[in-house]
Parts: sequence; structure tokens; C-alpha cells
Amino acid sequence: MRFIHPDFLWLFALALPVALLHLWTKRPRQYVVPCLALWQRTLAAHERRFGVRKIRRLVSLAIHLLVLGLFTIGAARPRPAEDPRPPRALVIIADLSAGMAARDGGAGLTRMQAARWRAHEVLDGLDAADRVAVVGAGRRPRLLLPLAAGPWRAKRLLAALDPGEPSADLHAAIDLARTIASSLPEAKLLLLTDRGGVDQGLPEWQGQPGKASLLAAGDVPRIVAGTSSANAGLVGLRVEQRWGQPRARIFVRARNASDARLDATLSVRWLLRMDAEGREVGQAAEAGSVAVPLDPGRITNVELEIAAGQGGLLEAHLDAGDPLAIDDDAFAVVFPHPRPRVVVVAEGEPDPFLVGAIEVLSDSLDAEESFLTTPAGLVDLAPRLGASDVVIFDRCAPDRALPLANVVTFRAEGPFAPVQAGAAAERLTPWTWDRRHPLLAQVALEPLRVGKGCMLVPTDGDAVLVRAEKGPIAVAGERGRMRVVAFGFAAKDSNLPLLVAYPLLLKNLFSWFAFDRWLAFRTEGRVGEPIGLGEGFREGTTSVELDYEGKWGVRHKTWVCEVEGGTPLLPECPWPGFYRARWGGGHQWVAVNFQGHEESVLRAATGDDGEGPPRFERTARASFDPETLWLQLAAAGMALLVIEWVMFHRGGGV
Amino acid sequence: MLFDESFLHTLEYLNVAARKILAGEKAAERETLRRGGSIEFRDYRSYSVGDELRYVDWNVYARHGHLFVKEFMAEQDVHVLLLLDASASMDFGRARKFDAARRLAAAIGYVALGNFDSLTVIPFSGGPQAGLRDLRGKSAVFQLLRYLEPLATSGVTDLRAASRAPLRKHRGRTVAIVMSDFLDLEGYAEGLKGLLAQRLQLQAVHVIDELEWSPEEGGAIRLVDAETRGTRDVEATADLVAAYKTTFHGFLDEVQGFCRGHEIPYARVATAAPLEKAVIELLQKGLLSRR
Repeated sequence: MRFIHPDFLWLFALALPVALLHLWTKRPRQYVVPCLALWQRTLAAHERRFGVRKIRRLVSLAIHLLVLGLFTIGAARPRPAEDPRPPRALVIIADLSAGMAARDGGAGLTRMQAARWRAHEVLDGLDAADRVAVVGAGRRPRLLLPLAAGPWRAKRLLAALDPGEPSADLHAAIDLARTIASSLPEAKLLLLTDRGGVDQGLPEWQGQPGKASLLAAGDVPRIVAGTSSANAGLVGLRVEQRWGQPRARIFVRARNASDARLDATLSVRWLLRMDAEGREVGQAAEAGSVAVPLDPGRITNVELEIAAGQGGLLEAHLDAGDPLAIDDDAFAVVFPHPRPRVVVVAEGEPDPFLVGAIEVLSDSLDAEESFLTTPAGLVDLAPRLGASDVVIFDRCAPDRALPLANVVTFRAEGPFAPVQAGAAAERLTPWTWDRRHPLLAQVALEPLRVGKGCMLVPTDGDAVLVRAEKGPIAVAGERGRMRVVAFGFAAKDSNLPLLVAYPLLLKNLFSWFAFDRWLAFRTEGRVGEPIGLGEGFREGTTSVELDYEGKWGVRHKTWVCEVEGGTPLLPECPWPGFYRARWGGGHQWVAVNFQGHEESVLRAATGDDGEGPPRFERTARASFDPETLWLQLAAAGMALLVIEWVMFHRGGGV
Repeated sequence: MLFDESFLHTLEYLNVAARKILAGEKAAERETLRRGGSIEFRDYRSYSVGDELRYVDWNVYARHGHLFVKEFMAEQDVHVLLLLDASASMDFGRARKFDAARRLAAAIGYVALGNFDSLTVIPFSGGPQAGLRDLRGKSAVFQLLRYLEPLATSGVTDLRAASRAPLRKHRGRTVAIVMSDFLDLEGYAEGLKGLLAQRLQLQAVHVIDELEWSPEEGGAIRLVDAETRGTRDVEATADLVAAYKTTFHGFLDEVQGFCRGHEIPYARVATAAPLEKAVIELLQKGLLSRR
């Protein structure tokens, strides 16, 4: 036997002080008794029954020395003696795709667990001198355990594997394994997967080939797990919200990847509710459910309508009784529904058409409240305004820097006007307008006639909404995080209030403003893909932390993401669920969905394991685990100490 | 100080309490079969030559014409003998058995002196010591206390040797009260028998301490005999201590059984018990009874 740390054997020199200390502490103390004869009468009967107690002190000392010996040997980390034969080597390729997490037959083992048990039979033939490497086959192959490890570490690693990737590039993983195996002569490969050697003729989805065909011609020894092919999963979840409508429409795509019709139930629930400011205001609640018949081999579209006055985190769950759970859930972040304040600023009498339109449309606009004020009065109101509020300047311009709100101007002329006015003009008609801009959606401006107005001078980045013969008369743009829309004419100086386009234009205006801050972020992604969050951060934010919140406490992990160019790039999120990106002073939820189309197509094992897993001749030292021996020795020492305490010290013992 | 002022108050209280307890048997206490010169009438008998004429009942003669002589009860002295164990084993216990025994001796002696009995106190260990003899009257109590105060323990308990010395030196009844821990396992029985043989009215007071029946547990200890200084190393396990308790209680029962078998009144006094309570219990159990 050899030792990794032989210096620790000196610890056994402590045996002498331990023995002396034992003898010192166990020396008898004097106890005067009135009549020793009574004690002798007692001892005569007592020692016949407990004669072994005479040697208790020696037994106690022997146990202490034995414990010291166990601790010393454990600390020295023993290893078996050198083996003259060359080490054997095995490289295991573990399929980490989500299909390996399928539980065949209901609550049985996952395919990974089933494959692992069979792999243990192979590993049991190896001993500590042999070498095992493990390669994980996911979207990209990666080395999980280098070839310097022994079979015991490989067993522990296999037990900790958690398959869940949306696909597995087995070819690349096998190539990596072969490269690793080439470093040792006669190293063998072993593939753990749920894909057999022959495709069973199930339909391939969207032109993506199953892994079965990838392996059809392979010659890698393998263990194939899996018995069921009936599976259904969600392949899409989309939430559509309309401005001013407190209900949201949920579009779900469910696929039946089996060859039989499945009767499933689709349920939607809120995992968390948020208000317009992003604060958490409520816990889990059911939002709705519907029965969904799924035809074999087809995708079924399901549409639900739910109340979404507040925003929140939404989970859709498909219950089809299938063996693969990971593709049965889909997640989405629903924007909170902001209610803006509307402030109309005018020097004198405000435009009655504008005020009237806002009053008439107030329910539809879902404004929280509206004010009339002057440029001077706006100074007092400005601190109360936020990113979802709208300030309309009617024939006047701000007399200072723009407030923290979205701004609309009707013929605003002045140094602080968001869009500078150009030359005045009369009898203007729209020459062209940008029909694709969201502000002008479904708005027809042919009949527009302007009595008097002015041209506008857009800055870089501004979009010209309407252009007259002599120049732009309506411009939209962004100033910092706020949005600005400028008209070169007052509504009352045109026939715009008389047109059908007027209320539509106002409604588009508010919709465009409302989602400004939310659209700055990206709030959804897919497992295994890096996610760019977009530009919605306070200036100066240099790092973002990403917390995995899962489905509330199932798993937790935190990453730190660097921000480059104002856009944080979240790492490849490994699990589906909700992630929370946090930065100084703010946070944003991101829903990450599985939606691994290929993995939803489960294959049943064909029984064709190719040439079968490799076999190793079992050696006498195969059960010797040097990695854990020191732990076992320490545990044995602790157990002995407890036994000694119970025997000799508990309850005022010897 | 063993006998302080509060102890004297306790003695006075005990004296009063003892009078009440002993009052019921007072007449019988001093009654003997001998006819004596007391004023208490006992019986009539026919006159015979030589009888003193002053005892002839002339009223009866006048009525019946026969001479009858009146007989009266004869009183006798009762002597109380306190045999106090002063061996080294009495120097043991949380409340020191010897101190408890001396207090008890003082209390009983005071009650006896107050009852017009004579009192002798003889300490013993290997044999009887000189002791304090023939005290009479309540005023002798201070002599008794002065004698008991400086007494010390030494030697081994040997009741046999103590019983060999002639202790009955008085006419009339001698009530002998042995106060001891009786830790003379082989000899206490013979010692008590020897005392009985001296025609003493023997009574036994067994003085015990809590530490004797519940010794401390834990670890290796070297037992040292308080009298012989002999040693024995043991591991004081809970089992051993429990076994010792059983042995000790067996010993107590053995002494009590012996006394019962020989009609010796037996009482057990724990050192932790209050003195008043202990003395009253002893009196109620028949201590100082002359029957």
C-alpha cells in the first residue's frame, strides 16, 4: 500500500500523549467510605456479573488509539500498490439531450438513470488504477471528466448528470471522445443514449433528422435506454396585448409527436403578478384551462383569452400524461398595463377639438387622469410625471428642458421645442406619409387640409411621418428614453378633427408611447441560446446579474453578465423557466422556454445495442475506492468514538 | 459550635413536648412489684406479727373486727445510659453522623434529666470510654453539653468490646440507648446480645446519612475505609452504585430484623432530619419507655 500524503503518518506519534493523557485522566480519585466491607460485599456480587468492566479502561484506551490510527491513515490517503499492468481506459459519452430525462412507464427511472445503472456494470470491472473520462453530448460536446479520473468518480458524475438540453450533437461528442481515447492504447468508448441504431419510421419534424439516423451507421458501443415513443409538448407560446384592452390573448402551439391521438389539457396560470411599475403584487393564480385534442403527428394551435390588467409571469402547461416533462411547460412575461397621465399645455384657451377628443377617448385610452395647464404650471407638475405619461403642447413650446415624459407638440416654436419649426406656410396638403409607421397604422390622410402651419426640421434619427409639398409637417423621434411626436400645425387650423383619422391617430400615439420602456428589453429566449436583453438600462450600467428563479425555488443560480455596447448578453440559459436580470436600481424578467422540437420526438429502444457495451475483466481491487477511503476511515473513527462514549461515559458510566 | 443558643431553645421545646408524650405512662413507669413507702395505695393484707401498727387500717377493724394492713406502691429510680458510637465511621456524611448523634444524645439526656432520671453517657469505639456518669437534675444539662462538645471520633466500631465492660452499676432499671451506625458488620449482633445479657433495657438508634445510600457516581475511584484506611479501586458505574444501594438497604434491614428478633426497640435517624422531629419520633416509638 502507498500513501499520497505519507507525512501525515507522523500523526501516529500522538499515540504516546494520548495514552499518557488517558492514564492521567483515568487515575482513580480517593473516596472515603464509612465501611469498606459493605462495598466489598457489593463488589463480590457485582463483579461476577460485570467482570469485563475490569478491563474497561484498557478497552477505552485501545479504542482511542484505534481511532487515532484510522484518522492518521485516512489523512495519509492510502492508495493500492502499483499495478504492473498498463491502465485500462474507458471514455463514456453521455447524451444530455432532454429525451434522456423521459420517464418510461410513468414514474419509473429516467432514461439517463436506466442507462447509468447499466454503465455501472461496466465500471464495476475497473479499479482505481484504470482511467475513465466522461464527455457530455449536448448542443456542443464538452468534457465533463478528464481521463485522469477513476471509475468511482465517473460513477458519482453520472449520478449527478441532469439531461435537459434541446438537442445533442452526438457526432461531435463521439469525435471528442475518440480524440481523448487516442491518448491511451486500447481505450474503449461507451455511448449512453436513448437513440437506437435504426429509425422506427416516426415522422421527422420540420426537416430535422432524428438522432437515430445519425447513429445508424455508427460503430460506437452503446447502451440504449427508452421504451416509449408517445409524447406531446408545447412548441410555442405567444401573448398578444392591445393598448387599452385589459385582456390578453394567449396563442399556444402544441405538438403531438406520437402516432396516436392524445387528449390533453392545457392550463395557463400566473406564477407572479406585477403592477405597472414592475412591483410584485400577487402570487400564483389560475388563469384558465382548456381541453385540447391532439392529432398524431400534428401541431395544434390553441387560443385563450385571459385578464391581463396587471402584468406578470405566465406559465402554460400541457398535461398529456406523456413521459417527457420538460417540453410540457412554456413561459412568458406579460407586460404590465400602464395607465398614463395626460397633460395638455396651452398658453390660452386650449384647442377644444383636442380636449374634446381626449375626453371622448378617455376610456379607450385608459388614461389615469388628465390635466390642463400652462407652460409655467408644467414646472410644478413635472416631478410627478413618469415614463408612461404624455405631455401635449398645444401651440406653445416648452420653456425649459423637456420633462421626463413623452411629448406631443402641435405647432410648437421655441428654443426648447423638441423638433424645431421652419418656415411658415399656408394651405398645406399631405404629399406623402409613412404608412408603415405604427403611428399611422390604419390612418388615411388624403383628405387632410391644413389652413396654416409651418415646416419642421427633423434631427438625425427622427422619422418623417407626413411630408407636404414644401417639407415635413409631422415628425416622430426619440430624445433619450422618451419619445416625441411633433406636428407643424394646430389641429384647429386644419380639418383633422373632422376626419376619421383623428381618433385613430391619437390612439396610435398613446400605444406607441405606452410600450416604450418595455420594448427596450427582450423578455424571452430559448434554452441553450445566449440572450441579448436590449437597451433598457440606466446609463452607466456595466454589469447585470442573472438569477435563475425556475419554477419558484426548484433551482437557483446566479450569473454575472457583462454589458457591452449597452446590451447585456445573458449566457446560455441551461434550464427553462424564469430568469431575473438585475442591475443597479432595476430588474427585468426573462422567460426561457425549452421548445426543443427534435427532443419531443421520443424514440423507443430497438434492442439493437450494436456490438454492446465493452466488458472489462474484474480485478480483486475493483471495489477499492481510494477517493472515498479516507472518508470511510474518518467515518469509522467517528463511529468508534461515539461507541466508546456510549459504552464508557454516557449516564455517568465508568 | 455544636450546641448554640438556638439548640438550647430546641431542648426546652423538646422537654415540654416530651412531658406530654411521657405523661400517659408516667404512673406505670415507676410502678414496681415491690411494695414501698410511697403514698400511693396498692392493696390490703392480713396483719401478721412484726407489721408496723401505723399501717393497720383501724376503720376496717372497727367494721369487721379483723386487722388488715395497708400496702403502698414502691417507687424506684430509672437510670438512662447513652452509649454513643465515637468510631471513625461516624465522622462521615453530608451532615456528619457524629454531630447528629451528639445532638440527639444531648436532647435525649435533657429529656431524661428533666424527667428526674439519672443519666450516664459513655462513648465507645474500640471499647467503652470513661464517659460522664450519674447526672441528675435539669441543671446537669450544661455539664452534659460541656462533655459532648469536645468529643471526637477515632478507632473502629467494636460493639462487642463495649458490651463486655460492666455497664449496669445501678439498682433499679437501666435503660440503655445505643446510638451508632452499627458498621461493625460482624460484631454488632454479639455486642447487642452482650448488652442484653447485662439486663439492660436496650434500645437501638441507627444513625445514617444520605451519602451512605447514594454515593457519588462517575469514573475510577479508590475507596478508602474511614476506620481501617483499607483501600479498594473500583469503577463507580451506575450499575455498581445501584448495587451498593441495594446492599446498604439490605444491611439496614438486617440490623432492624435483628433488633425486632430480640425485642430491642429500633429507630432509624437520618442526619438530614430536623432534631425536634427526630426526637419526638423516637419518644413516640417508645424511647425512654420503662416498660
